[in-house]
Amino acid sequence: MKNFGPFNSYADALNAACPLILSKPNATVVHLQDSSPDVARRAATEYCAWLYYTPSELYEMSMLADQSGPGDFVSGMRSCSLPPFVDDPRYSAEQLKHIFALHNHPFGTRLSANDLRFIESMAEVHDWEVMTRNGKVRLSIIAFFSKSQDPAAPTCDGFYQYVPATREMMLWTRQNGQWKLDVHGIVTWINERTYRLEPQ
Amino acid sequence: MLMVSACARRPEPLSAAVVNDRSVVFPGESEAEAITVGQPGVSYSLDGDVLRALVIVANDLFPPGTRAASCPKRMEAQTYRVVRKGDVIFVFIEENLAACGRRFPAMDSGAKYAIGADGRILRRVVDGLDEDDANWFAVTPGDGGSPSEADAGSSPQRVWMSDGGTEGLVPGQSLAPVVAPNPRRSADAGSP
Ligand SMILES: [Zn+2]
Repeated sequence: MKNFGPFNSYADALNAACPLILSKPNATVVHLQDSSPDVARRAATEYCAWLYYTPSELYEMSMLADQSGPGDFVSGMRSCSLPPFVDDPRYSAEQLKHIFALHNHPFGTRLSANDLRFIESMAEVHDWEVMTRNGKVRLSIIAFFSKSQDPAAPTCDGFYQYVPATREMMLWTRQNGQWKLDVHGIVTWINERTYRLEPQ
Repeated sequence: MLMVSACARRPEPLSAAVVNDRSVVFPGESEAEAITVGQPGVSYSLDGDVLRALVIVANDLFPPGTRAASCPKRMEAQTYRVVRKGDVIFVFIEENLAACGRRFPAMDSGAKYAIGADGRILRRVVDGLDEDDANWFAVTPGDGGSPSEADAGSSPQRVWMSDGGTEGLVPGQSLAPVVAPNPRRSADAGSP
């Protein structure tokens, strides 16, 4: 994607992707949650993209897939369809290492069971662990969130992350430019649609 | 005849009365396979309560008179699973991949509803919008699955400095040993 990186480390790429995705229209609606919850639900919009590693040993982000076209707002479903392969004309699909499936949760909710199912299904076409200049990086899904009450300047306040290879669930939070790992657990499935965390 | 409106009013997709009682616990999968309704040559009967629950859910997600532009967001592109427990009818909605010829699901492509005997929406959990209290830390049975983040939120406190410090953790970093074999790799290993 234009005007994004490329970056030498995935941490720097995440640092840049988080505020960029959250600055899209209605990517965060927590400022409306209490005053007008129905408006917030209708406006809430998910965006998704791949963070990937190129043969030039750089991290880049794919074009943002909007959750929906303008004609999709009538639907109450808020899913985001991320194409399984990045389309980067400079490289063939097999040359690109897909690392993080990025999206946002407009209310800052945790990863849904379907988010976990999505990234697990990506194992059919992507490696669960790839070697990069920063060492091994594992395929995972990430949901950014903001707690900002100012829609004009949404802050990147953290993200949830799930790693299928290790079944790790993490909550990373960001304060004053510092990242902190707030929650770290291992996922077990209670049933097809419910997961639980065993604290680490 | 009133024709013009300065701002075209968008149909309200989620306008049904919602009680949003977070103590409502959704049942797990039943041991029995769900019966697929609508197979050719077989007749089924659906009682009024179940039909009403399905209509309430469908109207809430897919307002009458509207049709989403993209296939996966449409009413006919979902699977609806119904479980009755006491007075409450639970409806689980999942993307039906075959309906749109898709191979992989979308993120946040599910929803679940609890419909009461009076036709109200007792609980609504739409992926990406509502917190699903059932997911997260293990809890004692019967407490409604409310999260107890205080217990586990306090454990790791390592900090990564964004100004180039190398101590501690890097956001996005995986920390645990691999437990799940890569299905793609094991498939590769099996082929010549
Ligand atoms: Zn999600």
